[in-house]
Amino acid sequence: MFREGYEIYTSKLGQLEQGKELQLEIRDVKTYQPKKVKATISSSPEKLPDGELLWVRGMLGPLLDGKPWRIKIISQVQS
Amino acid sequence: MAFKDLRDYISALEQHGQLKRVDREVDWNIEAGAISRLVYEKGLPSPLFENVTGYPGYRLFGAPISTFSKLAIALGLDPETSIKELINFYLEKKKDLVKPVFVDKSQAPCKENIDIGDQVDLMKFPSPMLHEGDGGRYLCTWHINVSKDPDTGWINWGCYRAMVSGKNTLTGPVSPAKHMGSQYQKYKAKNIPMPFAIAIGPEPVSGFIAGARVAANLYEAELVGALRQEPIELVKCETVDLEVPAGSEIVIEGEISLTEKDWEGPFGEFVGYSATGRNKAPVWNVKAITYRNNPIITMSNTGVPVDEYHLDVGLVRSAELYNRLRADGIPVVAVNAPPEGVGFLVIVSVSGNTPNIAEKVTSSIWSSPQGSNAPFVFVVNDDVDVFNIWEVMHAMVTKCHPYRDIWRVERASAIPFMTFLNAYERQHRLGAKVYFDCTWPTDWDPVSEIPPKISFDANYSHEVKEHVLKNWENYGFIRLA
Repeated sequence: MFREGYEIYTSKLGQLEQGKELQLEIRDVKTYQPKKVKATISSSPEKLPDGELLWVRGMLGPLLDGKPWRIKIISQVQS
Repeated sequence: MAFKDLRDYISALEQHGQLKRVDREVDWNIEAGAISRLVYEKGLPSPLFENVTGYPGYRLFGAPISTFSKLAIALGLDPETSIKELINFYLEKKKDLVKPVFVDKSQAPCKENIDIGDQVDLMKFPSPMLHEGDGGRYLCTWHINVSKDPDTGWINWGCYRAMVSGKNTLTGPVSPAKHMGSQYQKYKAKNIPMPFAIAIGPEPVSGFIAGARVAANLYEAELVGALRQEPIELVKCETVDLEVPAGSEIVIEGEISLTEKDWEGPFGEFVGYSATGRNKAPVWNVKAITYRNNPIITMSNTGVPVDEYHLDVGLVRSAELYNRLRADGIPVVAVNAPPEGVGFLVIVSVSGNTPNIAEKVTSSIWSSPQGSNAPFVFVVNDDVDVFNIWEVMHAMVTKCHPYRDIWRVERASAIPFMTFLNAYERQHRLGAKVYFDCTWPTDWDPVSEIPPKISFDANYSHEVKEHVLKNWENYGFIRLA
């Protein structure tokens, strides 16, 4: 309700590789529409200053990091 | 007289002070869910959200039957009806099932709008995001899933959650352990996608019974008719060979794919936790949606007790296990599967002096469909009111020997919602069960070894009790309930 940006589910924070181009499935927190994208992510806002917010959730639902990461979407991947 | 539809029931709730109309704008995205959750936890009137962000003309209805009082209203009974009386009502009415009647679509409010094929768009409905972290927007949390056995024609009503995964797709678990899931396995064997219908916002007794675990091969619509004391009106679906309550708010028709899967969950569940996580589940392809004007979407925001699932347990499971124990020749006095036990706890009182009665009771319960997944069983003597948890606790701490009277079983049946199991145990269904014998041992001498109970009822002579009760208000006390 109050969040902006995107969410992603992962089993462990360590599985999200930072700083390199990845293919990810994320969802918009306003619509919950999933989409597949090519993007780079970082837990540090300074490393992706123009990135959008990315909230990281575990597979049971809770946020794995209380602070949002950043995501820079390069392109959308067709399903 | 039975409620003809959900709207009729909502009016009744309002008359009894059990409804809160919310005309302030409320967001389907978490806000409506959070409000409903607090309503459950505080036992408040059910919220009808009449102004949903971004969805003019659509409404959300939370906590539809969240207390025994609301359940009594749904059954046409006095709101103060006790759980014992509700159980007796259920057992009595169940003896005479009432077949449904079928109406033409011209008489079915759920056919006021009909979208078929390319017209189907699940996104037009304000499916709520109920809990933070849920896998998606769950349109289906309090509804009827209608499905049919391809071999026997047995029609099952259940309530299995489903989230919106696309314009014309839902995703939801289809567990082989459940009735619909067992039917799905047969369609899989025949390589035929399984037809389904989902009736959202039916009249209240239908919604309640759909979520209860009744016997396989029992057509829930007939039990609903018995409890309503009037037949339920059903109408044929547009695209599948199934029937749904004609007064439903929204009906979704389609086929569950045998091959396509998509991510589903996590979801805040009845056990009070998000227990089963995010998994791939079958895709439900939607072929048609029919709905009333200004439809109302019902939401059951499952979580810590008490919500609709827990009340289903509290009433139906208690009643069905009572019948089971009687059929097995157990001298049962009462059964309580309390809502707060989330279906994992059963308390049974017994009369007489049967040796090993606790073991007999527990064997009966654990071998039944209703009790096979209740890992905790307490057996008490008939001087204990099983609906008074403090009396049960007193019996436990004074009669249950901590070493001799607690019997544990390993490698018992389990379901993934049993959060006391570790991940490996849940994955491999390696459960555990326990029963607490809170009865006086039958080999104790009743005069010299069983201590006399000290209570108003047990200790005082009939003459003294009568005298005191007769003069109670004369002593200056207010009348006893």
